[in-house]
Amino acid sequence: VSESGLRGVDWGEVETGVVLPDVTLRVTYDMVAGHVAGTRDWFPGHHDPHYARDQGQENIYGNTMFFQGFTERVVQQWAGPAWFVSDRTLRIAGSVYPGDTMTGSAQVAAKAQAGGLFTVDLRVEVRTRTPRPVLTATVQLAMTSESRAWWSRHVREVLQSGAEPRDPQGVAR
Amino acid sequence: MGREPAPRASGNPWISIVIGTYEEGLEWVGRKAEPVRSRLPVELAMIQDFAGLVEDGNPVYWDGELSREIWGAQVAPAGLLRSMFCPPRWAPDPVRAEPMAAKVPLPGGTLIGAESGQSFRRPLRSGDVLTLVEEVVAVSPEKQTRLGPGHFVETYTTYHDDDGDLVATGFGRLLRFTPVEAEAEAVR
Repeated sequence: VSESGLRGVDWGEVETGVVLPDVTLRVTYDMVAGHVAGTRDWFPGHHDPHYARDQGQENIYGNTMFFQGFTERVVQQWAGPAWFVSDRTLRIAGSVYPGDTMTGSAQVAAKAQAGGLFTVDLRVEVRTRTPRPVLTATVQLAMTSESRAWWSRHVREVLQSGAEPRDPQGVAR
Repeated sequence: MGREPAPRASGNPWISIVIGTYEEGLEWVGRKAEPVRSRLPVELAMIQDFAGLVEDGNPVYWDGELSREIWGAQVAPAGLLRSMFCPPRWAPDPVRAEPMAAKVPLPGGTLIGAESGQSFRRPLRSGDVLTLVEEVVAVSPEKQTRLGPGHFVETYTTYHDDDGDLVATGFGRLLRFTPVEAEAEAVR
């Protein structure tokens, strides 16, 4: 749904194999430092360049919560507000430094219905300057019966209001 | 052998890393830490700070009415879970926030996250006060990594709300390592 509606997809219309729009984020000093304060993660590798270099890093680097937050954004920007993260696994293979640009790409790997949840599994990769991802993740998003009913009502209202019908997969516009 | 211990955080009381042998570390497998209750509830300023740091425009974080309409509450990013247990930089009653992997005696004087997984029964909500219990489930033999030789420490964590309901479970895999700068440079 766009224009007057919210962006997102319903579980019923998601197809395995769908590629999500890439999301990029330029990493700045204030963002790396902001995560230190915003998540109260005072581990020195994230704010003290001397400590980070002694660890073999080239500079202060983004913390795990930074990767978690960015990964969630990559998938939820596509899925919309009627989903929540029900499972997420991150494998961190490299670091993200101020000056890097992160590009997150994702693809739908599976969908299922169990325990009252409507779930979609996504594979996410985050790259900076090397072809090898700095992060690979699997994220499971879930709709509940209630959030799914809310989403259907929302879509119906938007369509009745005469807005443009949305791209059924919600893929990049 | 012959390696200098890694530098400690200078003057930073927030984290202290326990040094020991692999054999001492192995004794920690199966140990559970005392439950830790978060000092503060999840609240809107944390939610918007966190979403703002990755420029996450998910409307449920920015429009409280919409969030309550869909979820019956102000929901929060899943990524806030762990930070609920990080204390302020300073507090009059000294608090520490080491991950359990820091307390396991091992040769590596520093650490870095390698893998992190969390499962949620429901979204985090504004007002949630959670209690975690962390357990060491594995300590690996020494591995050579791009940052230097070290041991991986795996932990399993449960998070309950004040009603006693399980909200989330997590596992973490952290590398306790001795930095080898030259090696790290060559691989990166």
